[in-house]
This record gives sequence, C-alpha cells and structure tokens, in this order.
Amino acid sequence: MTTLYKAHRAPGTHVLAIGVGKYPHLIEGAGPLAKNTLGLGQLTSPPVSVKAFVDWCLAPILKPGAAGFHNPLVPLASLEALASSEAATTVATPGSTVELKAATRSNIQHAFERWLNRVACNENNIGVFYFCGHGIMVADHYLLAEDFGESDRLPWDKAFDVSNTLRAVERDVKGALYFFIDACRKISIDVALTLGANPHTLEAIDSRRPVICTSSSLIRATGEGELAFGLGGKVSRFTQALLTAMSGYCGVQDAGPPTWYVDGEALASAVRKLLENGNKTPSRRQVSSQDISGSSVPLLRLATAPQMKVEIDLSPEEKRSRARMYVLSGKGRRFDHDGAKGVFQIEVPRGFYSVGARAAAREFADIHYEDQDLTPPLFDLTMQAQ
Amino acid sequence: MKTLKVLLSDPLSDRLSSDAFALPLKVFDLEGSLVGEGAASRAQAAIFKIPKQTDPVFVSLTWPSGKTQTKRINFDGVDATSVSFMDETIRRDEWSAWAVPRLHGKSELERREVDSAIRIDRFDRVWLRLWKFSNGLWGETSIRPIAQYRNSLACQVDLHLEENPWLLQIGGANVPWRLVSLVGGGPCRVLLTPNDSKDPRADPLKIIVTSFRYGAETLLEFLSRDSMAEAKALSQFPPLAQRIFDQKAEDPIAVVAGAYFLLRIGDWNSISTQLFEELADVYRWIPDAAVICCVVLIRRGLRDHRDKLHARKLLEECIHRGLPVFAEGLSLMQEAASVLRGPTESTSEGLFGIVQRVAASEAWAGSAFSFYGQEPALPSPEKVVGYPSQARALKKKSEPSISVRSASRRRRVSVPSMPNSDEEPNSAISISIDYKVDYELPLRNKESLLFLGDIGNEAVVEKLTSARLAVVNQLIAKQEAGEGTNAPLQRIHAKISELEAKIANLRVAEREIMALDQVLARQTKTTSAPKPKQKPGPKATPPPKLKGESKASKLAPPRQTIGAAITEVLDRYGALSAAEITERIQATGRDITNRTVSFALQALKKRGLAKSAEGQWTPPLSRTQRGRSRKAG
Repeated sequence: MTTLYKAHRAPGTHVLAIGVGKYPHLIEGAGPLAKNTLGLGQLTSPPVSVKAFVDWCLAPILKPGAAGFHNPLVPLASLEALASSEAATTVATPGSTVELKAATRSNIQHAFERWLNRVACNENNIGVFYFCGHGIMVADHYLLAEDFGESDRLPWDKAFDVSNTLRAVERDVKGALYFFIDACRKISIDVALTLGANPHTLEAIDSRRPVICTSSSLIRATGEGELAFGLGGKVSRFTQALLTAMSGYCGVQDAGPPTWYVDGEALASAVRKLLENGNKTPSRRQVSSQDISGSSVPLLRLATAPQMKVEIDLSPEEKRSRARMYVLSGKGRRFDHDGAKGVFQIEVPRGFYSVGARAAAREFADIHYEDQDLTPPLFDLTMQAQ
Repeated sequence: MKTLKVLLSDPLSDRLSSDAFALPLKVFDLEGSLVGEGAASRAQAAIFKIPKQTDPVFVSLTWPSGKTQTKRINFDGVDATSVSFMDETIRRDEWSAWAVPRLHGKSELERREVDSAIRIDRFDRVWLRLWKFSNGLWGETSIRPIAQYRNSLACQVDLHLEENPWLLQIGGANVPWRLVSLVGGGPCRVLLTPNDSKDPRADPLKIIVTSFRYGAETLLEFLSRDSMAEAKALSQFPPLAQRIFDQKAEDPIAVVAGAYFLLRIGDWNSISTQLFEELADVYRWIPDAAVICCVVLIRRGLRDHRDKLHARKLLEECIHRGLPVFAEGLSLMQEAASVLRGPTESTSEGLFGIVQRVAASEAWAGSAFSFYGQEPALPSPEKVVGYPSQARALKKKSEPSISVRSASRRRRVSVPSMPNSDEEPNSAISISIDYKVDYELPLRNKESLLFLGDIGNEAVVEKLTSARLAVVNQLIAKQEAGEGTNAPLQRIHAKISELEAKIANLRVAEREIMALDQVLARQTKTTSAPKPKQKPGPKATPPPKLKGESKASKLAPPRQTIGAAITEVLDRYGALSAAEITERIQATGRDITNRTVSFALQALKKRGLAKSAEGQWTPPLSRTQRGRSRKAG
C-alpha cells in the first residue's frame, strides 16, 4: 500500500515520501548484477529515514500535541510513501499499521501521479516530495529506483530526473512545492564526460504551458559533486537535520498574530547549520544546498517561538571546570551551569541574551557577552579565559 | 509609534560612495520577533516605525556573506533616535574593503591583525590568464592591470575591459583550473584571497570580482546564496530599484541584475521581452540578455513551433556570444535547455551538450559565473591542476587508486576508502573513474600569464620573470635535444601539420562558397560585391529591389546596425533628441522604439561616437565640421 493517509482538506498539504535502500542489481544485491553498477551498493539508512519522515508527518494526527507536521491553514491532506529494504518497512497510520510497497520505478511513477493530481487540484495546496537513496549528479540530478540496473540495454530506465521533474510540476501546480532530496550529488566523471545518462522525468515538460507555481524550494542533502551520509541502519544526517529543523528549531515571525512561519529559506538555513554542526569528521563533511524561488509560502505555521540549541564552552578546559557559566535573557530569565559538569548545553526560546562565565575563585577575569542574537537553530560559542 | 533611523556610514570606502549600494536591515524586539525590515545606504536612511511599548529594539545588518552585525537601541523615553553602522572594523586595507562583505563571516581580511598561517604568498606560483570573446571565438590576451594591490592575505588587480565577454582563468600546482566571468565595457576589479571555508567543495583560493556596480552586485550576491528575504528588502530600496527596474535605466548590467531578481522571485511576467531582445541586440557582449528573454518566453508558454524556434534562437545567441556574466544565467540556460530539447535530441551533443557540459562543470564564485576547465571552450567537471604547459588531473589524496593501463590512455579507478566508519554515503559513486588524457597544451602566450607573486610586488616581478625564463629556457633546451618521444617540439610540428591540413580544406570550401555566391548574385541581378566590414557611421544602403522570386531572394539582406542608423541620422540632421532620432529612423521604414535608440545612444556615447548635451545628441565631430574648421583656419 502506498497511500497512508487521505483527508478531504482544501487547501491541504500532500506528501510523497520515498526511501530506497535495497538495490537488487547493484553490488551485494540479491538479483542479477547490472553490467555497470557505477560502484554502487546497498544502503540501510534510507528505509529508516523515510519511516522517520512519515512518522513525523503523521505524529500530530496519531497523538495530538506531538511534534510533527503543523500548519492549521494548509493541514496534512494526504501521504503517499514507498520504501525498499531487506526487511519490510511498516508505519503506524490512523487506520492500522501499514507495510510500505517497494520503491520500484513503476510504483514511484504511480504514487507520483496520484500525489501530483492531488497537489494540483487546489491553487493553495502545498506539495512535499521527499526522496532518500542513491543519486547521481551530471548537469541535472538523477535518482535511482530499487530496480535500477535491471536492464543492461536501458540502464537508466529505472532512474528518474528529479531536476526536470520539478520543472514539469511547476507547470501543473499553482501552490507551493517543497522537494527534499537526501541523496548524493557526486558527479560521476564517467557519466559526466560521456554524458550518456538521460533518464526520464516523472512527468514530461509541456513547453506549451506556462509556469504557474507560486513558490518552489528544493533542498538537497549535499552540494554539487559531494556525498551525503547516514549511519548504517539509522536516520541519515540530512533527514535528521531536516526533522529537527521542522520540529520547532527554525521559523520567522511576521507581522500580525504571533505565528512563526517556516518557509524554504528558513528551513534551508536551519538544515545547513545543523549539518555543519555535525561535521565532526573532516572526511565526512556534508553541506546542504538549496534552490529557492518564488514568493515565501510557509510549509509550517507554529504557535510558539522556535527553540535554540545553545552550546557554550570555555577554553582552556581546566579553567572551565572552575567556571560558573550563565545565559541571561533580555527579560531577565537566568540559566546557570557549573563548568565542572562539562560543556553548557541548554535549549532556550529565540531572542536576545547575554552569556558569560565567572571563575569560582577569580582564577580568570569575568567574561561577559552582551546582546547575543540567538537565531535558531544553534548557538555555539567557545569563550576564552584569560 | 516611535521612529528609528538607520544609516550606513563610512566616508572612506569607495564601496559606499555608490548611492545604490545598500545593505538589508531587520529590527527585532527582545524576544526576537520581527518589528521591521528595510535597507539603508550611506546616502539614504532606513526609517522604522516602532510600537510605543517596544523598548529596547535590536537592529541587525546582514552582509551578502550571511554575517550579521547587531546593535541594541534604547529609546529611553524619547520618540525618535538614530543609529549608524560603521564598517571601519572591516577595513584592514582600504582597497580590499569592498570585498569583505562577500567573504566568509570570519575572514581574516576584515581584521587589523593577521595571525593566519594561510597567507597569499603561499600562492605566489598560481597563475592567471585572461580570455576575450571576439568574432565568435575565445582567445588569450595579456593581462594589463591598471592598478595592483597586495597585503599578506590578498592581492588585487584593477583592469579596464572592452565591450566583450571576458573570462579570467586561474590555476596552479594545487589550484584547480577554473574560469570566472568578468563584466566588460569598463573597469573591473579582481581580488584573490586564500579560502578558509570548510565546505568540501571550496577551492583553495577565493576569487571576488566587481564591475563597481555595488548595488546590483550586492543584490545578486544575496540571490546566489538564496537569501531571498534580504534580496527582496534590497530590491525595494529606491535608488537601487530605479537602476535595476526602470526600463529607461542607462546601465544594461544593472537591468540584467534586476531581471535575474524578478525571475527568481517569480515576477518574471513583469519583464519586457521586447526590452531584453533590444538589449540583446544592442549589447551583444552581454549574453545574459538573450537567455533572460529566452526563459521569460518559455515560462509564459511556447504556444507553437515558431515560439519554440524563437526561444531556441535566443539560447543559441547566448552561447554563441560567449557565456553569461552572472551565475544566475547558468541555471536559466539549464532551464531553457531542458524545456527546448526535443524528445529525439541528444543531451550530449550540439547546443544542449554545451549547456550540459558547462552545467556539470560549474564552480562557485558568488554571483559571478564560474566553471572548471582547461579553456573556455573546454569546460569539464574533471578538475585539472598544474601550469598551462603541464596540466594534470587533480587526484584526491583520500582516495587510493588502482591503475589500469590501456594502450591509448591510462584509466584510473579510484575506490573511496571507508575504513573504521559505520557511515555509508547514499552514494552515486563509490568508484569514480577518471581518464588520464594527454592534457599537455603547447606552451603558448607565456607572456600572457600573470603570476600571483607578481601582483603588487615589484621585487617579485623581477625574480619571477627570471624564473619563468629559466623554465622556458629549459624547455627549449629539451626541445633542441629531442628528449623523449613526447618532446614538445615534435608535438608542435604534428599540430602544425594538422592545422595546415585543416586550412587547406577550408580554402577549398572558401573557393566553393565564393563561386556559389557569384552564381546567386547573377540570379538575383544584384551587382554589388561583398562589402568590407562596416565601421560605425557609414550611410545605410537601401536593400536592392529584386525582381521576381528566386532562391536568393529568400536570403535576408544585410541589416544595418542600429548604431550605424543613428550615426547616419546624426550626420545628416545634426543635433537631435533621442525621440527625434527614433522618428527619423522610423521614417526609413524600420520598426524601432525609443528604448532601443536610447540604449544604442548610450553605447555610442561610451565609444565616443556620439555625445549629448541638454537632451540633444550630436556626432562627436563630423567630417564636414572638421573640414569647415580647416577652411576657417
């Protein structure tokens, strides 16, 4: 089954989520090996990631008040999902627990068409397309379905061109589009030099029709020519950053009622910062990239101010152990921390704060930073003790 | 409501002397709620209305690099106050101040004291070369800086470029060869500084360019980083909006920047395709105008085959006139190519192949268009390093390689190592295959190279020139000794033979075409011989009247350029306003608008072929006037 949730809401948000970890025709796959595997093998993170994404979308419906998709003006109206993995991927839905269908090229096509028909039926709808799996970047971005490599004669038959799919959809959908692509964009020199790859789009571009889309945000797990990473069997780094950002760690308040909007620009910026914060291993650095165009149409509308992950350290470490660190809000709310317990980690609402440290027995001069703009999702500061 | 006035202030920086240069501002309350948005320059303040009960507020100024500067404002019972943002902290050296807002937020270039180990002199052997697009071809040309600057972190050259598309190429032993578009038709400044970015895509050296249109360039810098809110705030800043959106604006580059902005925010329907076709016609050295027009047509929907052909012609024009000046142009080229390509057309050949190859080779230089490659006509995603005579493929140190030899070329299969890591890439490529082809280009135009060590350092100029001569002498000695089977002299001889064969073939084709032209000329009964290349100012020749339909009649007669038509009118009638010139040209049966004439007049003025005073346009000094002067004397 691919349709996990459907409600009659207009306008509404329609989601299509795809995770591909099992590739039978690639290295270590169960099926006949493709003639040219491009060196690609099996992945364990995408099925887990797509499940995390779907769970996040459905959470407030299954358990009101839970962190998840929240947009009272354009609520969740449908959810399609596909996953390919060795073990079945199951998702709890409002009706029952559902096993996701395999993300073959054919299933992706059918799910995509259902999703597109729903998104296009109201001019204020929002369409969300999420993909996690293998990707390849030439001039455009190609994504690989489970059955990629099935035919040696038509190796690209089981892939699709997501860049041009988006260009085609922009002629169908008047509302807003959000594409989250959690796949590598490593340029294959092999493919790039010969430019032999030319997979189809999920929808042909009809050049006779004008572009009608109001807003489009394409956020990719990585920059051009780079790899995206995920811990084996766990949610990928990009998806984790995306879900964190969408769970109240970004947003901009506009004039009017106290509502915090999360649009493509805010989301892209937050995801980038969260990923950068996770770049602890130099060889596994991951920097997301984005293409934002059109007007700002929020994907989420939150009633509370976004939270900040604050991390304050003091160097050198021996002085930190004798320090009393603090965070003081502009309205006078104070948070203290004993440096002997390690790095000061706290979550506070977005705003302007003073931060600093004092030595227990004047081992170093007081440190105080006034009026720090704590912009979500992160504030990371290492103070230097003199 | 209370009033808050915000200004930029830095009288010493030429960057701020432009009235259109502004930076976006946001005003927040204590809890970070947005109170107001706007933009301010040195000349024009941003005025914010603040609710009575909101005190204090925080004003945040954003640089194109994303860095912000925030100031606390306490009203303390008063109803109006003001604040100014000084950028003295970013001015280590006055000449480099313009580039700092585009650099990484923690760039050492903004500090007064330098403690970095990454100094520019580590890149002294990095070379630059300049490419000019002229007569449909890219050719190397000498770099002749009109000013040079240097400190321990950066070097900078000022150039004056003719009205052509230009590319600056950079390369070195560890610096991948890449090309960056420069804006022609005036002064241009290039700053090079070590790149301290931790982005895995980052190149070792950062190149920042300006054509001194700080307002329009700042807008494009925000766009290139997808900072849409900041770009929108800037676009509403009146002095900038006047330059980029006013269809009577004089600066075509600013108008192009404005169109890129409108395309990005989805307001492309407000772009006049007629204006951009005219821009493309008058400013042939700005290929961006053609692709902007092409994409606007595409987004409006191509109703029939004729529309499609027209859009395709515009895309071809963009490519045949060089390459876009701005990075935004590349995404438009990709969009156009993906829509215009027919179902049976290859992505790897012809027009679409070129777009694919350039897109796959894209590099980052902020708002400037940049790509990797050995030459402008050879963009390649495979990075090469080394000196122009000794290019080699860039090898990633982290990737052990297994060499597989073949008769014609070496094929190296690199397997990324993933030891002791439980992280798996959602990888497209676990094995990347690169081809070690013979990249050695002949050592040509060595004088046209400029080494970074030469910039702004007279002592180094002398030393490096000697060093380069020594290298050249070594090569000549090797050539004379005939060392190795790939001796450069032998390859040059082989290349000469190959080119001679091609020239011989072209001569045959030339003779055939000339013979065919004579036959066609007889058929159409026109006796005029091919004319030499027209220079600005000749009188228009009316097209010959043809009797009957023939094959030749379908060939369009050579069209007089707008500049030539204007010069002719001015020569004939003397001082005229732009509107009167338009009327005179329209009277000859040519469909032309005031805007086109206005653009063309500006172009002629820049070339010294027309001048204006009090709304009247005249030729600079006509032949007849000169004659009269002599007689009078």
